[in-house]
Amino acid sequence: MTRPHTAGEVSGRFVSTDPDDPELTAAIAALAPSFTILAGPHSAVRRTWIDTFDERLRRAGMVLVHATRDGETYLELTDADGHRLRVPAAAMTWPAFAPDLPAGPLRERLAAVIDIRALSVSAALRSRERQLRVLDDDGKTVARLIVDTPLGHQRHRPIASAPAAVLSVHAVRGYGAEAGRIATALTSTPGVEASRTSRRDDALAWTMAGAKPAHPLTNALTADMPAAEAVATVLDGFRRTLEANVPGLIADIDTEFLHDFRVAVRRARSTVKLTGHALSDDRAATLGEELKWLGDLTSPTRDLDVYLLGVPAMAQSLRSSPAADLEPFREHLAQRRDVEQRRLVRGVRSKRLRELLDQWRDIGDPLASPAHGKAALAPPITAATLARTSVRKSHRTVVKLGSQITAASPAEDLHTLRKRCKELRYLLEIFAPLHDKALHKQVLQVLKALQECLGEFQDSEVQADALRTFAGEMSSAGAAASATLLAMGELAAALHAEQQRARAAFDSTFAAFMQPRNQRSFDALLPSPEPAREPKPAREPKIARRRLESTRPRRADSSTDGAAGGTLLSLHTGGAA
Amino acid sequence: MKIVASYNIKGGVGKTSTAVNLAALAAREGRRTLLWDLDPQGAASFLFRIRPRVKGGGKALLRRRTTVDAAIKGTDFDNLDLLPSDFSYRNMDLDLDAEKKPTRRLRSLLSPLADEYDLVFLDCPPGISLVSESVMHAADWLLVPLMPATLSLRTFDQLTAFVADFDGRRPRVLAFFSMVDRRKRLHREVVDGLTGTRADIATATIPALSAIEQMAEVRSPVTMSAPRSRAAQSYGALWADLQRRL
Repeated sequence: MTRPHTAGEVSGRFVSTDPDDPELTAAIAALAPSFTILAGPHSAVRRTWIDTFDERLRRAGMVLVHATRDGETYLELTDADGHRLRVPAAAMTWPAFAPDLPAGPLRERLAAVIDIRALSVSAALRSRERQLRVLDDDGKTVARLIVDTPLGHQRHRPIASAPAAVLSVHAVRGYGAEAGRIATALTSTPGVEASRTSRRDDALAWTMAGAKPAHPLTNALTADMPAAEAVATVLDGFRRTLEANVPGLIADIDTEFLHDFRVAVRRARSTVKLTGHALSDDRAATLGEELKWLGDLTSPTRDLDVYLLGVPAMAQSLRSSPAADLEPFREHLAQRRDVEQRRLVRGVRSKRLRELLDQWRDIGDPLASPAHGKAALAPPITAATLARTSVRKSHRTVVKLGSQITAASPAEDLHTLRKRCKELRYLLEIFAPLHDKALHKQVLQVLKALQECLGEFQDSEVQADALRTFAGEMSSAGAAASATLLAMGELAAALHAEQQRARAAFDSTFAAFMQPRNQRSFDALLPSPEPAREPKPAREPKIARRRLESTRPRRADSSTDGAAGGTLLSLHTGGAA
Repeated sequence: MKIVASYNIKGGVGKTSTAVNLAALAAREGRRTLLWDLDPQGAASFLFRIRPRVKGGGKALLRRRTTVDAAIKGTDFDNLDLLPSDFSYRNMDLDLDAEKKPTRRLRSLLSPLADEYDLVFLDCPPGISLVSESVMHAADWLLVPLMPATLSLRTFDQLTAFVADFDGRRPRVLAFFSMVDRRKRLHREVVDGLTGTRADIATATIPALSAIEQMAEVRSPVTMSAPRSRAAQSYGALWADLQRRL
C-alpha cells in the first residue's frame, strides 16, 4: 500500500526543469546503483481538488481529489494520516453535498467533516503523468517516482507559471530508507530541486482558481497600533469576508455563504457601534445605518434556512404524529425561501450595496479618512486602550442587565441581554490577538454558555411564533391538511417546553458567568497601561457588586482585582490568538 | 476488521496459494488488506519479493519490542500489505508458551490494526501446535484447503470438533477442495459427493493447475499475473463464496 504524506515515508517532491530528460533516470541509477528503474507509460490525468468554501477538509488535514486517469474517473480521499480511500465516481458534479457522494466509508468520513457545507472545486489541473517504479535487487518495488507535467486547460500547453515537471517520490510502506536514498539521488541531479509545497497548493497557485475566504479577524492587530487603524483593519477584514461570500450566496451553493455574510454584517455593525468613535469622524454612523439595512435584508432567507435545516430533526422529534405529516410544512418553507432568496439576491446586486461597500472600503483605509490629519495632531489612543475600554464597557452592561433579571422579568429583558452578550462576544473576538490566551479562552467559554442559554430561550419563542405564522399562511393558502397542522402544533408545544427549560437554567448559568474567577479574568484580559494614562476605573453597577460580594473573598473588590490581574500578566501581541 | 486464517494440519495442500490469492483479490476490490506470513518457510513473502525478515524476530513481535505496524511492508499491489515471515517463527511455539495467555496473543497483536485494515489473512504453518491454536483463537474464519481424500475429511471433522469445544468466541470454519485433479476417480467421487451437501464446504474448488505451481517462478499471485486464467477464476469463485459469508 502506498502511503504518501506519512511521517518517515514521504521522501519528497521536487521540481525539474526538464521532465523527459533521460539523465534523470540515469542519475538515479548512477547514484543508487542497487536499484532498477522501470518506466511506465504516460497517462493523461485531470485532477480537480475539492473542498468546502471555508476549507474544512484542508483544516482537517484531508485532501479530496476528483480525478480522471486514462478514462477512469474516481474520487480519492487522503486523510491526515496519509491513508487513501478511492471510489469510482464518474457521475459526480460539483457543487455537491455529503448525501450526493457515493455511499460508503469515503462519504461517512467526509460527511463528519463537511456537515452541511457544499463541496466545490477549489483547483483543477491537467497533467501528463508517468510512473517510474524503483525496484530493489529482488525485483520488489520499493518506491514509485511520479513525474507530473502540469498542463493548462488547453491540452498540451504548459502553464507558464508552473515548472516543467514535478517529481514526487512515494515510498512503499516499510521501504523509507530506500526512498530516502532515491530522494538524495534526485536532489543531486542537475536541474532538479526540492519543492516545499503540496500538489494541491501548487495547483491553486498555478491556476489561481478558487477565491479564498478572507480571514475576518486579522492577526495584524497589535497592542500599540493607533485605535483608528485597528478599527479600520478589523472592519476591512469583515468587508473582505462579506465580499468573498457574495458569489456563493448569489449562486445559492449552500446555506453557509449567507450565514457567514450575515455574521460579517453583524460583527461589522457591532464594531461600528462599540468602537466606531475611535475613527474620529461620523462616517461610521452612516455605515452603521446601512449595515442595519443589510442585516434586515438577509434575515428572512436565513430564518427560513434555519427552519429548513431543522426540519429533519423536527420530524424525528414528533411523538404523536408520523414524520411524513411535516412534508407539506417543509414544502411551504422551501417555497417561501425561494421567494426570499430572489429578493435577497436583488438586494445583494443592488446599487445600494455597491455604494455601501464603497463607503466601507473608504473606512477600511485609514489614510482616506478626512479626519486623518486632524487625528494625527492629537496623541491617538492605542488599540490596547480601545480594547480595554470597549470590552469593559460592554462587559459591565452585560453584568448590569443580567443582574437585573428576576423571575418576573419579561422575555424582552432576556432578549436585550442576549444582544449585549453578542456584542461582548464580537468585541472579544475582534481583540483576541491582544488578549491573554488562557484568560480569553476562559471568558469566552463562560460567555458562550450564557449565550447558548439565552439563545435557546429566544429561538424557541421566535420559532414557536413563526410556526403559528406559517400555520396561518398554509391554512389561508389551503396547503395545510389537519394532520400537518397537528404535527406543527406538537412542534410548538415542544418549543414552548424548551423555552421553559432554558428560562429555568438562566439563574444558574448567569451565576456561573458571574463567578469571581471569571469576572477577574474579564478584567485581566489586557494589562493596564501606566497609571497616568489609565482611565479612571468605572464603578461596577450596584446590583452586580452586590452579587459579586456574596461570592467573592472579602479581601478584594472588583477594581483592585483588575489592577492585580494587570500587573501579573504579560501582553500578547501580533497573532497570539 | 475480519481475520481469515488459511490453515490445515497437513502441509502442501495449498494454504499459501489460497492466502496469497484471496488477499490479492480482496485488495483489488478496494479492501485494505494485510497478509501475515506466519510460516517460517516464508513462501508468501517470497511470492511478493519481500525479504523474510522481522527486526528482532518473532519473539520481538510477540513481546511488542517490534510493533506489528513497524514490521509491515507494502506489496507491489494497492491496498495489500504484508507482515513478513522470519525464520525465527520456527520457535514461535516456545515464544508463545513464554507469554501470558498465549492463545490470545496473536489476536491482541493484531487488534491495534483494526482501523487500518478491513481484512487480515493469516498464512499458517502446517501442524497442530500452540501457534495453530493461537491462530484459531485469533481468526474469525478458518479457511481449510482439503485434498479430495477420505482422510482429509476425517481430519477436517476433527478440526471442527476441536474448534467447537472453545470457550467464548470461536472461529467459523469453511473448507474447500484444493488441488483437485478431475482425471482421478477418487477426486471426482469425493468432490461430487460432498460439494453442496455440507454448509461448511464451499462449492468452489481449486483445481491442480500448473499456473498455480508456477506462481513461485513468476513471484506474483496468479490472480494478478494472469487474472483471466482458469486458476484466477477458481480463486475468484472461492473469494466470492467467502465474501458472502464474511
